[in-house]
Amino acid sequence: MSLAATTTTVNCTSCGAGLDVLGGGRVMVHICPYCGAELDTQDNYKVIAKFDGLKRPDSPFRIGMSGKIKGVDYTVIGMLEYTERYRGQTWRWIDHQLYSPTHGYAWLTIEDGHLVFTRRYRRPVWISSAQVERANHPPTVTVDGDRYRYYETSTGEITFAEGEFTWAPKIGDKTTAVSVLTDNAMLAFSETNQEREVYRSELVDSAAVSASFGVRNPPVPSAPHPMQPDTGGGNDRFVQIVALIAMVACFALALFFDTRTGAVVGDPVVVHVRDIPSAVPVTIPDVPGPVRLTIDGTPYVEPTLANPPSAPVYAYASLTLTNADGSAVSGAPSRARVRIGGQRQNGLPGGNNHTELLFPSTLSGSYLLNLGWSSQGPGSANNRAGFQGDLTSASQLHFAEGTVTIRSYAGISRGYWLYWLGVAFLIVVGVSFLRRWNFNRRRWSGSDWTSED
Amino acid sequence: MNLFRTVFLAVTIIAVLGVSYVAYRGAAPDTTGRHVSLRTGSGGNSGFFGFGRVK
Repeated sequence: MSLAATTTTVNCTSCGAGLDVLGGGRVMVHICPYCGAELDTQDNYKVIAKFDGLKRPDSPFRIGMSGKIKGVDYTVIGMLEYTERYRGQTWRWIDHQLYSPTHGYAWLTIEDGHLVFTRRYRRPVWISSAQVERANHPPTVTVDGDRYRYYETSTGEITFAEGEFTWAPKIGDKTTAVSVLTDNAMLAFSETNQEREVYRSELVDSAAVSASFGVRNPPVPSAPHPMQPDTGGGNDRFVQIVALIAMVACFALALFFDTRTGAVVGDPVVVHVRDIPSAVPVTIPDVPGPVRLTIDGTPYVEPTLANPPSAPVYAYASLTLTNADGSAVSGAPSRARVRIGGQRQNGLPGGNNHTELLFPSTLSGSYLLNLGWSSQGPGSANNRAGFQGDLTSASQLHFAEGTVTIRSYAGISRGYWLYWLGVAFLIVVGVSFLRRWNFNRRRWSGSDWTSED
Repeated sequence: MNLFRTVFLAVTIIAVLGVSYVAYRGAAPDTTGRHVSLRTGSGGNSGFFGFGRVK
């Protein structure tokens, strides 16, 4: 412990005890720690009140201790205990009046084991408890670039006092303070019967300040403080930004790769409908990545019926994949087919006129694509012409022209796994925001604001 | 930059580049393994989950 370098002593005019004078020129009263007499320093230490039988609160900081807070030397010159009672609950906190010859007066408060440093805040801001009562939403103030939101209103009663003060505290005096909170600081709009003042508080490093004041057993926090910084969030912003950029990059790259649908390999094979059934040899090249085999039927065919229906005519060709020797291919699709016709003249090709077989790179080799006739759907040209059952030959078709074109594409990219990676980064961003949200939820859980519906 | 940030950034870059290469090579559930996938529709790649896919 270090004591103030130079001290002046006066004797208590009530009990005669020696009292160190530590507090500078603005001190108005000195409350004797021995007899509880409140002495008027402006009037030869005349006794103006006496507080008997007070129980000194348990604080490791004692009057006369000096230390550094935020790089400034302060000395403890007084101690107050406040008690707040509300709905059967009681809260207590200890304010230590501090004095610095260069920086004036301040407070060091022990609150739930945290050390809170408070100074007068001389800015034109104010929120009264009446304003809070009338407000529909939590009142806010923005000052010096910080936005403070209403936290609580408390009325504390002085239950212990000793030492020097710049005002004349009385046991039983009540102070109502409206507190607003920003990330790392609080403003308190304090109102007594005589005056109102604004204070700004922030947490200080309990261990460092305690050590500086020579306190061997620093207070131990019993619960998180609303001004406590988000300790887990040192890298939060970095993680959010990096994950967000990565997520956008993943989705953009995925979209880009999805546009790489490959380039045609070799010449297209064109099969005329009159040549169906037909077995077309196809070669799947041994290239990195998959190979796409596209089968496109002619979108529009001219009907050859005597009385053609108004609906476009069409027929489905079945597609069966076999090995070059005619044996079945394990893992080949069994219900593949492609439509020939079905669109109006000069119309765009319909989805049914296009079919694809996608070969993994492991299945390169030679195959036969067997084209046959599938059954036609209801309302088709053949049904309308009275034909029932499956098509078995081209002679049963009621249109003359039409083709099936087969092409191979290689050099295909797929964005599939990039989409999933993007989703993973989205989860990282979400978890980061969720953690921050949970932190804020906990720090605001002590607020007494309730929204009335 | 602290160690966590360095590692996180490195892992992110490696993941994006690695998966981009996988995407470039066209890897997806229907382009790996030993079966031929059938897709119907207007062509092109199938996007996220494919469309009209019939085994």
